[in-house]
Amino acid sequence: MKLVMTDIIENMPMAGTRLDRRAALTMGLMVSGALALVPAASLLSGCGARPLISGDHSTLVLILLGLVVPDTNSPGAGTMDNMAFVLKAVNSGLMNAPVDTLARLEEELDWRAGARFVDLPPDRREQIVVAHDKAVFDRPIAFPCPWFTTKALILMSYYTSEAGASQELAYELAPGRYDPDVPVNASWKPLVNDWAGNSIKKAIA
Amino acid sequence: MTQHADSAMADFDAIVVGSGITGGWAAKELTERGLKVLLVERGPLIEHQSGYTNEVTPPWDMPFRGFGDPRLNASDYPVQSKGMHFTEWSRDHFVNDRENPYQTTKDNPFQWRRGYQLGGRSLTWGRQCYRWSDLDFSANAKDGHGVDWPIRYADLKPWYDHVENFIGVSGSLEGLPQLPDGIFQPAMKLNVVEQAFKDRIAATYDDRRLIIGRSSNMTQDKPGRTKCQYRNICARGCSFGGYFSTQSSTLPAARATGRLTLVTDALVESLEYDPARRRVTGVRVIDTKNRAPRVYRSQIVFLCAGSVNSISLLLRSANDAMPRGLANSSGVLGRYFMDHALALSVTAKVPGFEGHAYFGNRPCSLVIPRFINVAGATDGLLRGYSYQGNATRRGWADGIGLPGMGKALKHDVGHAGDWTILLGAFAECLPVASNRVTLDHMNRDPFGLPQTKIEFAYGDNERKLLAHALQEAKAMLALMNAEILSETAEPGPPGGAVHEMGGARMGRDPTTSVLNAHNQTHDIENLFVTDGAAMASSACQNPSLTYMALTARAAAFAANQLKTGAL
Repeated sequence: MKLVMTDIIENMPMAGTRLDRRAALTMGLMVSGALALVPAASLLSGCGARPLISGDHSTLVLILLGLVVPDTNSPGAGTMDNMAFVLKAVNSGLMNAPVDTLARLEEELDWRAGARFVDLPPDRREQIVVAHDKAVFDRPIAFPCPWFTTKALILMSYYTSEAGASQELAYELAPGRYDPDVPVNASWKPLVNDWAGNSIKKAIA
Repeated sequence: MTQHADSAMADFDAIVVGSGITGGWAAKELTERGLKVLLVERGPLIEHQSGYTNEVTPPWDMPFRGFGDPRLNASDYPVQSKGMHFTEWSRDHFVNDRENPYQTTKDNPFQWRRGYQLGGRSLTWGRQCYRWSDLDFSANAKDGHGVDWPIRYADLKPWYDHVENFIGVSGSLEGLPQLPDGIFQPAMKLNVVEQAFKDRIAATYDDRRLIIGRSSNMTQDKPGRTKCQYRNICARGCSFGGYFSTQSSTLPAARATGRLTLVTDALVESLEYDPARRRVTGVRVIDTKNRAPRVYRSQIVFLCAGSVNSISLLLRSANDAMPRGLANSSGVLGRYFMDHALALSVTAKVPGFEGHAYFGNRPCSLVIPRFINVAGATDGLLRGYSYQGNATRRGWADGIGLPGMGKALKHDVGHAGDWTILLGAFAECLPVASNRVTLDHMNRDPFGLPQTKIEFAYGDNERKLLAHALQEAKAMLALMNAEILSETAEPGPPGGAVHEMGGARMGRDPTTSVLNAHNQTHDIENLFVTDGAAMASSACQNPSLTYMALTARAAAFAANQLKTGAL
């Protein structure tokens, strides 16, 4: 499935732009429509005890994808494919991500916002996440750290997505040659598929 | 089981068990010398090009973006998934650990990396090709650890030439006595940081040098094969044929003779033995799809199933005449098993090259060949070690753990990261009797066969070598003003180097070895073992090129003996 969120919310502001309450509600409805494609359980938050599975956090993840890696000259990370990857990664414990990562992150963001984070207007969401990022990275990381893990998974999703790999960076399946010394200038882009250089050598959870 | 030729029911001149690096070579050499050969592979057929399912799939079309399903890896690939060539793309080229159990020890669990499919581990090997020298072939005789090799470099040199000519090896001529030059295609290039590292080592040390690795990744085309495209995704299978594998190289040659029959999905349960004639007469196989038994017969048998499986097969073939295992009158079958002690000695950040990068994914390491105990002696250390590694420029993955958000973060992550150098040390493993492969009759595999058990531990000398390697690596990296990011002198888990050797060692004395100078068992003249099980010592170089040369040499010997009636 190649359902890209930008197909649905094309031209709609995400992170870094102002969005009024009406637009936010409209966008929320459209996102909800798109999310009909994810398991129904993910839309049932509030039914009984809070489930600690990431399937309940589709909207949260989609918002965070767009905030961490926004659209610029190249597309950002806010796509359905990337959302699905992050949810799957947490649910399956990729790179030891705890299964309650997103539930705990949502609690942290709600606490910082003093309200339900996903219901805030976009500019306020961005303020909250920026503040949370600063609070987390201003001190040594102690795992489990839901924000560190989620942010890492967002980057992993983006740079392995078609847009992140082949538009933001360079993806060359068959380079055909090895140039041992090329200058790094404004036009140079790293190979996103430099399999030796880009292996993840640090813990994310 | 699936037969892939016309001569279905006929008996054969030779049966080759296993289709990996050595099995492919045995099939090629024996068929080209006129023999009618059956090649038996326990796993499924994977054809060149069409069989490489995920070769060109981009990460965004992989279920887990190439990172792999952690639950599946934990349940079905707990051993295989720890290997450097195992990825979501290459998973089908490795065995399912749950379906292919083996026994090891709790204190020193041996990581047995396997590929049960046509081509075996030739699809996923590291592709590094190094000749061994007389420093290696005489080591056992010199210090008394292990039995003397029955051959020397001069015996193998023409076969190294033969193999390198055929497979295509890129590398540089260096004139090093401990790492003999071969017949090389043009070398791959060191990148700017590796070249600077090489220059500074050369300016500082008389006893060592940094060179580009010698690799079966080709820099020139060969018939039917295209040179390496600098993808560095070899373990997915390479439709270009840019590196040596059974599929790209030896199997097409064997098929071209018209004398090859290939059977896949056929597990060799045991060898059929005639005690009256003291000869093997064939192989008993189990169809892995329907479990039907079958016997194939031949004049000679080559075991090329990989060290551990060839040993296990000989042990499983015990009979009344040879109750300790076939060809095991010496009692050493399964013992003196080895694997290189591998430590990722140092990773370090290198300053001063921020304006430089590289293009392309070179699938070949830098190498610092052995330099201790070469000309002189190093106190307290036997044998030696060598380094392999590379200098790479970190990319987007360095962005993990960066503070910040949004456009600024996207900008920072999308630019080149730090240069880092990795040096890993491969230390020679001494042959000791307690490191061994046996059968566990209390635990059976899904086919009802006793499971293989591997007992293995590194010794003091291996640990001392790795400690020395760490010190020397840090001293060399200081020449680059490098910041050490991680260091260790501890060997990784046994098996991690995927250089299993020994267990059916060659030797001059039938009472202390299994094979003679031609990889022929001392006990049974028409039975040959030419994979890593034959090794009497481990050196510190990658061993596969030597396996190939030994196989080609043994095949020539066997074919000649058969033709002259001596076998």
